[in-house]
Amino acid sequence: MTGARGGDLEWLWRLGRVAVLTLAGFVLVFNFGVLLVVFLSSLSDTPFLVFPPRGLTLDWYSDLSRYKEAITYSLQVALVAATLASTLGTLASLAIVRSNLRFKSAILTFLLSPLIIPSTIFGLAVLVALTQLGWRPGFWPLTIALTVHTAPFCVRIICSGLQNIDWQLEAAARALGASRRRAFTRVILPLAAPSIAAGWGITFILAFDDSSISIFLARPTRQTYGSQLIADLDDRLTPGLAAAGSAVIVITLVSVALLGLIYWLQKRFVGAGIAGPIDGASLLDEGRS
Amino acid sequence: MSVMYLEETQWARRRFLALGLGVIGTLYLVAFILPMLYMVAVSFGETRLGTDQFEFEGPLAAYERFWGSEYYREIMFDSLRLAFSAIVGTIALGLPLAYTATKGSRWYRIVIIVAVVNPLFVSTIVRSFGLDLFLKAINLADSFGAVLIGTVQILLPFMVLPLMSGFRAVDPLTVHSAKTLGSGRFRIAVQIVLPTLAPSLLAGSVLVFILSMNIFSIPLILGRPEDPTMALVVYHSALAHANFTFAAGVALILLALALVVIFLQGRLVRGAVRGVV
Repeated sequence: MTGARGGDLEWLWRLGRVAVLTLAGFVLVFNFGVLLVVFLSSLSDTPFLVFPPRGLTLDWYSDLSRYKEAITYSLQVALVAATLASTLGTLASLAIVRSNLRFKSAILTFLLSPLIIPSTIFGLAVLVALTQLGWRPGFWPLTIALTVHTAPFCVRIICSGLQNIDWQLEAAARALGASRRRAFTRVILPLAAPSIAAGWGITFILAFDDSSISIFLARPTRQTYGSQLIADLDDRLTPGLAAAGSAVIVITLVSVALLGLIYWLQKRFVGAGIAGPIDGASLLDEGRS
Repeated sequence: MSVMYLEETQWARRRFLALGLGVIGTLYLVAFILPMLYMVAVSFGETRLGTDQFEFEGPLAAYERFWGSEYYREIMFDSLRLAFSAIVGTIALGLPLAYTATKGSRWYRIVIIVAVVNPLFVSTIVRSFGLDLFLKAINLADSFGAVLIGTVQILLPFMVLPLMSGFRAVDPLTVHSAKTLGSGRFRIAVQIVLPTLAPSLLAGSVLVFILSMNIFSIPLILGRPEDPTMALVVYHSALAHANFTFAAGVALILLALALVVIFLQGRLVRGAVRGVV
C-alpha cells in the first residue's frame, strides 16, 4: 500500500514505530513509577523522607491521624462541590440543549469561562473578595469556589451527553400520556444519567485533588490534604507525608477506576460517548488547571 | 385542546429552563465575576496590608514595583522560559505519541492514553513529591531541569489530547490522493498533515503555556527557593507576606499574559483557516 517510493524507507518507518512504543512505555513507567516512589519512601524507618527507603516499617501509617482529618475534609468538600456542580450543570445544560434561547453560544461561552482563569489566580481572587467583605475562609467559601471552578467540566460533559439523547422519546412518552415530570424522571433522566455521573465523577476528582484554591481558602486549623501537604513542606518532611500521599493515590485511583467503569457501561449500554463535540467550546477545548 | 396543552408545557418548560440558568448565573456572578472585580480593584489599591517595604506609592504601586525592578522582570523571563521549554517538551513527546494513538491499533491507543492521561487524575502535589524524591536520589533535584520535567509530566495530556483530535481530522482520502499523485511522505506531512494539525498544535501550546505559568506547586516542590516563578511570587506575597495588593497585581499580569496568548491563538487559527480556504 505504501508503494515503491516508500519501500526503501520501510525500515526507518518500522524503527520509528518501535521508538514511539518505547517512548509510550517510558512515559507509562515514569508516570506510575513516580507514584511508586511515594509509596516506597513511606516505608522508610528514618525520621526524614528519603528515597530509596532505609529499613522497612509500616509505622508511618499508624501516624496518619494528622492527615486523616485533612483527607476527610477534602472528601467532604469534594462531595458537596461535585454534587452542586453536577446539579447546576445539569439544569444549565438542559436549558442550553432544550430551549430556543437566543445567544445560546454566548451563554455557553459564559458558562465555560472559568476555565480560562487559572486556579491560583481564582483562589487568590476569592480570598481577596472575602477579606474585603470582612468574611473568613472556611468550608463554604472553599466549596463554592471549587464548584464554580469545576462547573465548566460538568457543563461540557453533560451538554454533550444531552445532545446525544433522542428527544423524540420524551415526546413519545408525553403522547402516551406521561406527565411532564414522569416523562423527565422515567425517560430522560435515565438516559442522561451516565453523563451526569461522569460529570460528577470528574468534578469530584478535580475538587478532591485541588491544592491551588484550598491553599488560599482553607483555614490554617482546618486544611484539605493538598494545603496540608504544602504547609508541611517546610517542617514536617517525614515518611508520614509519603504515607498520606499513598492513601490519596489509592483513593484517586479507585475513583478513576469507578469513573472508567461508568464510561464503559455507558458506551456499552447507551452507545454514545461522553466526549462528543459541542459548539462554541472549541477555544476552551480540554482545559483544566 | 392539544394546542393548549402544548402552550402550557412551553410556558412551564421555559420557566424551568430559565430558572436553571438563573441559578448558575447568579452563582457565577457572586463567586466568579465579583471576586475577579475585587481583585482588580485591590491591585490598584493602597498598600496598607503587608510587611514588605514598598518603594512605590499610589494606585499603580504593585505594577510599578513589578516592572520597575530587575528582580521581578528576571522572574518573569524565567517563567516565560519555563513555559516555552514546556511547550517544546510536550510537543516533542506528544507528536509521536498522539500520532501512534490515533493511527495505531486499539491496544496502542489504550496504552498511550493510560500512559499520558493519568497525571490528570492523580494529585499534582503527591506526584511532584515522588518526582522530587526520585530526582534527589539521582542528584538532579532543585534545578530548572527538575521543574521542567515535572511540568512536562503534568501537562503532557493537555498537548496529546488536542493533537489526537487533530490527527483524527486529517482526511485519509486527501492523503491517499496525494500518494496516488506521487507525493512522498515528507511532502504529505508538510503540506497536508501539518496544516490540518496546526490549530490543535496551537490549542495545546496555549494550554501548556497558561498552565505552566500558573501552577505553583511544581516549582514550589521541585525548584530552588531562590528563583521562584511568577505563580510562586503570587503565592508568597499573598500568604507569607499578606501583601494582597502586590499578589493581585502579579496575578493580573499573569492573567493578562494568558488572555493575550488566547487572543493571538484565535487570530492565528482564523488566519490559517482563511489561508487554507
